Amino acid sequence: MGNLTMSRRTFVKTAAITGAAAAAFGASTHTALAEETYPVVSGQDTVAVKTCCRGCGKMECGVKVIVQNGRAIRVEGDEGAFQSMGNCCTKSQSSIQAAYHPDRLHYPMKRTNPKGEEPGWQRISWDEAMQTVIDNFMEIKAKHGGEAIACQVGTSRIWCMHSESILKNMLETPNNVEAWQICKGPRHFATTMVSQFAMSWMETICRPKVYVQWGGASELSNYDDSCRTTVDVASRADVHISVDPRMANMGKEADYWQHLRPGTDAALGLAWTNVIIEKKLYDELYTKKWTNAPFLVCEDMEPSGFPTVRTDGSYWDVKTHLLKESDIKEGGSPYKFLVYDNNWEALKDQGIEHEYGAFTWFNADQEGNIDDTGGFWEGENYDSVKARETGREAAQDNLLPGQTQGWVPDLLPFDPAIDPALEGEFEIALKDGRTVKVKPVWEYYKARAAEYTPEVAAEITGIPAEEIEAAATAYGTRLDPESGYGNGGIQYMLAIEHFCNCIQTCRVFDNLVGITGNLDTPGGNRGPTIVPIDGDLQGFSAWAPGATTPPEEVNLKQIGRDKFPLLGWWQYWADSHSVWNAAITGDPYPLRALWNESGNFMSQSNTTRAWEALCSLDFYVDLNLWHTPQNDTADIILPVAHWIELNSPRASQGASGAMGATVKCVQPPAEAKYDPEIVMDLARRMNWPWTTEEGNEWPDIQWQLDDSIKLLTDDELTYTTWHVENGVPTFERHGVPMAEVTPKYKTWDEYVAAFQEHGWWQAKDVEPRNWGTYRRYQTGALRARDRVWGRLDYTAGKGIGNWKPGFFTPTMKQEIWSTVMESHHPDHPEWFVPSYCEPPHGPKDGDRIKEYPLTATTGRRIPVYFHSEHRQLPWCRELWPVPRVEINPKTAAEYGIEQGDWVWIETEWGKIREVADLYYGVKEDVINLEHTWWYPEVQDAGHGWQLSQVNQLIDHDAQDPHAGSSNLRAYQVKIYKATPENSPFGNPVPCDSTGKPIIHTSDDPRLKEWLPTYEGRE
Amino acid sequence: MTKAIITDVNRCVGCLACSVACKAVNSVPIGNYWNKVVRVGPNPIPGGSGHYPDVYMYFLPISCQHCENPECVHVCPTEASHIAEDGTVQVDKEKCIGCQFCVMACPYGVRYLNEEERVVEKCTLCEQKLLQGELPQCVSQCGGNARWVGDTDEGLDSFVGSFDSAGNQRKMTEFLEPFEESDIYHLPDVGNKPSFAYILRGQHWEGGDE
Amino acid sequence: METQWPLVIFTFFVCVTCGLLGSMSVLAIKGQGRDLQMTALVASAVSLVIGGIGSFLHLQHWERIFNGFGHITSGITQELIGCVVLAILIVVWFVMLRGGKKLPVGLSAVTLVAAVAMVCATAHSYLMAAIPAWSWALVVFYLGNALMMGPVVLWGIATIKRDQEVEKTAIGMSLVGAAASLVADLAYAAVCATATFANYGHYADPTSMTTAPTHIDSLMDIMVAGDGAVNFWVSLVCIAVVIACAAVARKKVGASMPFMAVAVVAAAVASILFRVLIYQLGYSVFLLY
Ligand SMILES: Nc1nc2c(c(=O)[nH]1)N[C@H]1C(S)=C(S)[C@@H](COP(=O)(O)OP(=O)(O)OC[C@H]3O[C@@H](n4cnc5c(=O)[nH]c(N)nc54)[C@H](O)[C@@H]3O)O[C@H]1N2
Ligand SMILES: Nc1nc2c(c(=O)[nH]1)N[C@H]1C(S)=C(S)[C@@H](COP(=O)(O)OP(=O)(O)OC[C@H]3O[C@@H](n4cnc5c(=O)[nH]c(N)nc54)[C@H](O)[C@@H]3O)O[C@H]1N2
Ligand code: SF4
Ligand code: SF4
Ligand code: SF4
Ligand code: SF4
Ligand code: SF4
Ligand SMILES: [Mo]
Repeated sequence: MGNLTMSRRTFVKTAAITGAAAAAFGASTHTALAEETYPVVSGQDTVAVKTCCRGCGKMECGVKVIVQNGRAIRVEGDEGAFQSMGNCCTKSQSSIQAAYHPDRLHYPMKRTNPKGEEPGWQRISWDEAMQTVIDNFMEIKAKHGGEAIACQVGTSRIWCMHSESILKNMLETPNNVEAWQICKGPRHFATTMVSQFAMSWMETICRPKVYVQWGGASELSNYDDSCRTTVDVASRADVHISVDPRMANMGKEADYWQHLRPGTDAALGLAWTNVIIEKKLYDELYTKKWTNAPFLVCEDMEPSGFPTVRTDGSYWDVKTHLLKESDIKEGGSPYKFLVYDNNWEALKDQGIEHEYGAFTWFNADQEGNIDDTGGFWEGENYDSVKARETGREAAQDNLLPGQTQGWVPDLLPFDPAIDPALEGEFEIALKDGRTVKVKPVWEYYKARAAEYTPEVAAEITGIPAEEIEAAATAYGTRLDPESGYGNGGIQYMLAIEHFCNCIQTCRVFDNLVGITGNLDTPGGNRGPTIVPIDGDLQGFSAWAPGATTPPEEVNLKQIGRDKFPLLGWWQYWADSHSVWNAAITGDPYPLRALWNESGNFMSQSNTTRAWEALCSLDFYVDLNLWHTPQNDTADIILPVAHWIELNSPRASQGASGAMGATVKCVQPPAEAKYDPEIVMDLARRMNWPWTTEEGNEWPDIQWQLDDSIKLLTDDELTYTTWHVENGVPTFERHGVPMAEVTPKYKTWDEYVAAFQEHGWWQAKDVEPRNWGTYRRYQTGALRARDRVWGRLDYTAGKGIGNWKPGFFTPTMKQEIWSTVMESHHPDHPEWFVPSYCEPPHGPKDGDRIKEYPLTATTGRRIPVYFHSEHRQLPWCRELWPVPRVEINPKTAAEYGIEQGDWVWIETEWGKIREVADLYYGVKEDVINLEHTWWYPEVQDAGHGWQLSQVNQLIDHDAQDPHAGSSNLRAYQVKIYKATPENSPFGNPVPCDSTGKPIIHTSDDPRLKEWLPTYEGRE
Repeated sequence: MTKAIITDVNRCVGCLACSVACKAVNSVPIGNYWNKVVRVGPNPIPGGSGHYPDVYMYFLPISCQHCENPECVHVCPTEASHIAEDGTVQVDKEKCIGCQFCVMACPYGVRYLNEEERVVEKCTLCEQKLLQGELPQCVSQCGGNARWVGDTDEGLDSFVGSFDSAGNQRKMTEFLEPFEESDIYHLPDVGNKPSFAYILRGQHWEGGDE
Repeated sequence: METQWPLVIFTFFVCVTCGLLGSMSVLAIKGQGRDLQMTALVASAVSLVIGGIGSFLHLQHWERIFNGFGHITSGITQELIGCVVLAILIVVWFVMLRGGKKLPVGLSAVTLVAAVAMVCATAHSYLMAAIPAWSWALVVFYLGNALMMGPVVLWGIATIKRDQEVEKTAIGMSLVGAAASLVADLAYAAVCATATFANYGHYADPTSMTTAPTHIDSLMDIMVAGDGAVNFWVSLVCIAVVIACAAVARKKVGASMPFMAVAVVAAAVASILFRVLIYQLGYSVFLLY
């Protein structure tokens, strides 16, 4: 084996020889094998470059990279970055050790050994590598169709999300494996269903009065918000609530700790809902006006509806029991949803009469199929200007100096003053002549919540009923009723997506946030930052200009659609479990090749199964900075640039509202290339035009960067105002159409220069009419983006980006009753409103508990690692050398386990070892495991993922019935102490195949071998 | 003059940023630490049920406490370990003979022998940065804004920390949630009088002078 | 704490040197053993040198040793000075013995005081407020140890030199010295038993998760039944053996060689093991780091 692999050091030494051999590879000058690992050091100065960190990709922390004589020497927080408060975590600070790591990939390589073995990597030229990729893809495509090629992507790395976007079009495949399926994707899925894409993002930086950390610990994860912001917000909030089975790092300070059993979040959320409803703590006006709570359910009728558009431009049929004009009147509109008006008689006295007596309607004809009254109520009076201008500046306490408050329009009352009924039962005659009983959606929601009284929830969650009631009351009771909005949003985080009830659980929160008046309000859940630069995954380099998702005929072939009907609606990912199955079994059709750009097979589905799938592929190309467990099964690996070596526009993915950039500070080493350049190169070689501009079909990266900021302008961005009188709308367009705006910065370099000068911009200032204004469902700004900017909304089809009030859901309301769910799962009425179910392999899974007595939760964030990343960075690994299993000391004592012991953790699907950490902060029957551990020091194929990687323990087939996401938390396991007798090589410490133990102490000399090397640079 | 760091333990979330920050500016060897963040607990709350969920914990960043009456200096035969002008305790590496008596004498275990240089080292309070009017790196990079540097002789008001987004330096007493004199603690003192202090509100401080 | 062998060696030989010089002073005052004083002196000098070299091994930059005189309050400086004083006294003794002169009582008295002072200084340099087991009781232990080691070594020299008068005296001194040493060890243990440590309950150091955190409730437990038990009990038994040997040998003056041999070995073993024990007990009051 050894003779075929070359350490990088020997490589550099032999570089002269291989350089001479370059001719043999037929290399052009462009791809000639580099003779030096790092380009020559230049400059004699020290500069601090303001940039956006991508040590994780979860926050857009503003940092400064200190560059001395052309070499990056340190990363520090940028205090000017209001969104992160100068935060600079361990991972960011350690980035220097990643950039200059001796084990970084520097050259394209091909494998020389069979799969399943140590690959025997051999350096090749870029030309050879890319040609091999194309040859293999073309051959497989010719044989099996484009759908036989899958692409894979990890989580929010921004510039390497091509597998999410353009690659699918290029390769004509609907099959993309995405970490998104297990991470935030479910909430984006659920919120798109019932309110607005990614409405889950909470504006923590505006300092909610009551801060709820639900299943998250952003002080460590920095997801949604930086550690600094989290700590500041939690410390200053009047009330801090932590909902977590573990005592979390900031949770230790909480005023209320809702210490629930893992996986029971929806039950607790519904119990909170119950308390809020019973104590009438909900915002009645919002609920009646902006949710579909008053819409009437008619169980006694065939569901009916209308076609509506999905993201690829194709249509699907809404089929709902919600009562519409078309149900009561022949030729009536299917978009007009009826409500019962409690005030109809009084209105009648004033001369305002409804067409249907006590019933009035809301028109959800958002595409203007019948007329343009869609978005308005029967006879409504509305004016966009008034809807925005009646209000005041937010007055949140504790903002940072200079932080823009934002404008809060008052919640306007109904005009005319209808009072849609939330409660009661009404009789109405259908068009077939039958008189039926109908009830508002609210009654169903209320009934569902009533199934989870605090007493019932106490049984399920293990939290005493009084504590549940107290926390819910604290959240729901407005501390400042004057403000007109709630105490803040709910920061519902990752945990809730990991036990197979994720879509329904997210809906619990979305609705709860809505009815308490915390949707798109200061400190509430606001959705993704909106700015006119292509920052997030919708944008820069991920999508070719003008490109959309693949066409319907391709999407229809998406693997897993039959098993998960809603995936056909959602379309953004293929079910990873089904994709791996297809690779192994050829069912429903052969899946033979893979392009992986930043994904990691260990992150979801059963790892052993996924590994088997990877090993069975005919061809697999991997883009990475490292040798990883996954790319040990690749045929070709391509080296990519590190974040301090590249340029990219960046805006907050969440609600922190920052706009800036990741700025190239140093050159990439050797032949490493920036991801978008590699994809562009692939497009060129495949003759797939990236742009429609003649002569510029394959623009270089500079063009793409210039393009990414061209909509940033001092012109007034286009918007539309509506004026509605007695239900008759007129509209006016304002501002400069997008195609005509004058870019504020002509080039990327100008933008970067301005950024260095100014620092981070506030989206509230950049787009005052959109991000700078709250309650955008009222002003119309929630429906402002058309398909050029916001591909992830209901943006295909026609009636879009029209600035009408409301949401993009089929009913244009925040849906408590989900018409999407109802239409796709007509046989599951229990899912029409938010619901709870037990985690599939939790303690209530039959008799399993006898064999597997402990409930495992997994994945709480390790401060020094990003999932599988950073295990080879000395500063990180020395601070966290081994994976830990947290065990209550009482339980540990029962098992004879002491702190520091290696412990076996086992299910019927696999077993692993982690090190015991005696932690009173977990319940006696719960343990907490760390995820995606592998050992870069292990040279075997897979780099030792088999030893400790946690998702070996899960059932490959346990999935959320809607999103297909894996069962990563809340399942039963058994544990026992690792001893010489029950461990390979007689060593409780995991060892490689030769018996050599992994690095498990911080003084292991192997750590020092990973210190930065600048070899070849000087 | 006695320069010192005060840590607000309620704000410390164990993010470890301070540990790495120290490494980033002080070339501390891999496997050695000038600043470790130790988790205390979770322990049962005194007077509680004695088990989950009646537990509490906190994180304790521990480095040299720059003692007023430092044992490490008393035992040092060479005056390599000394109290510098600003009241911090420093090691003059040129003088050190590596006898490691200071290592044994320090109550907190924060000193170690640098295997390469064969002299003893520890937290310098980022001497080089203080001299240039900068903050110690563990203060400027602290994830929770929990760390503050100042002069114990000049009182709590002298303690400053990171900068806000408008470029103003934060003052500890203005920035932190209120605390009482009785919320201020030190590591166990065996006569060495640690200058560093910790603020902990509403929780039991472990390891106090029993 | 890990055992610092150089320091174990150093303190052992300091006790041997001082014990021997002390014993010689007693002999001189008594006017005994004129002939073997030179041998004993050489032995004490050799022991001092070995000890000194031993301690050097502990220094990482011994070329900078002269810095070591820099700081008078430091125990090491005091030890260094003590070594120099002892060396001077040895030279003085040497000159006197060489000159065949009668050793003045004054010199013996000074030597006795210096020997005691040196033992105290050595002990003192290990007194650390941070380490409860390294309290003033160390002085007691080292003094006791010197009281045993000096006479036992003298006994050996007397046996080899076949000086029965000194042999008798040395055996008597060994008996008393070993008994004193036993009492000192027990006193040391008793003082250790009162040591307290800062208690943090459960805690975790991220950098050493694979070792169980240390909790010390009582040093007595460590000595009597824990990690230190072997060293503790074996060293006590060894002292008992020394006492027994000396007791029996009192009646066997002139033929005490085998007893002497056993006693010397037992005394040395007891001394070394107890020193290792002292390192084993060398926990800081604060165990978190
Ligand atoms: N350092 C670091 N930061 C990261 C990452 C990383 O790997 N390392 N990953 C990033 C990514 S991709 C993500 S998605 C985020 C996630 O970050 P967060 O959303 O903050 O989520 P976690 O840290 O996974 O889990 C948070 C808490 O959920 C608790 N928990 C476990 N089970 C349950 C349960 O059943 N119910 C409830 N309510 N709580 C539970 C855990 O105890 C833990 O304290 O972190 C991001 N940030
Ligand atoms: N049991 C359990 N499993 C979990 C979780 C859990 O809590 N518990 N959390 C889940 C969550 S929230 C997520 S998001 C997933 C994460 O899942 P992934 O995102 O799939 O996992 P990572 O381990 O971060 O893998 C990222 C890979 O991309 C590479 N990479 C980094 N930067 C770049 C780049 O710029 N370009 C390219 N081409 N490659 C790059 C890295 O080296 C690494 O190999 O894991 C999930 N898995
Ligand atoms: S949290 Fe992420 S973005 Fe922020 S500093 Fe750390 S690695 Fe960088
Ligand atoms: S903490 Fe230790 S090293 Fe620092 S001054 Fe005090 S005694 Fe000396
Ligand atoms: S090791 Fe150096 S600093 Fe420490 S006591 Fe010895 S000479 Fe002084
Ligand atoms: S003050 Fe400086 S040297 Fe001391 S721990 Fe902090 S960063 Fe390290
Ligand atoms: S950086 Fe600050 S918050 Fe983080 S562990 Fe250190 S002291 Fe605590
Ligand atoms: Mo994630």
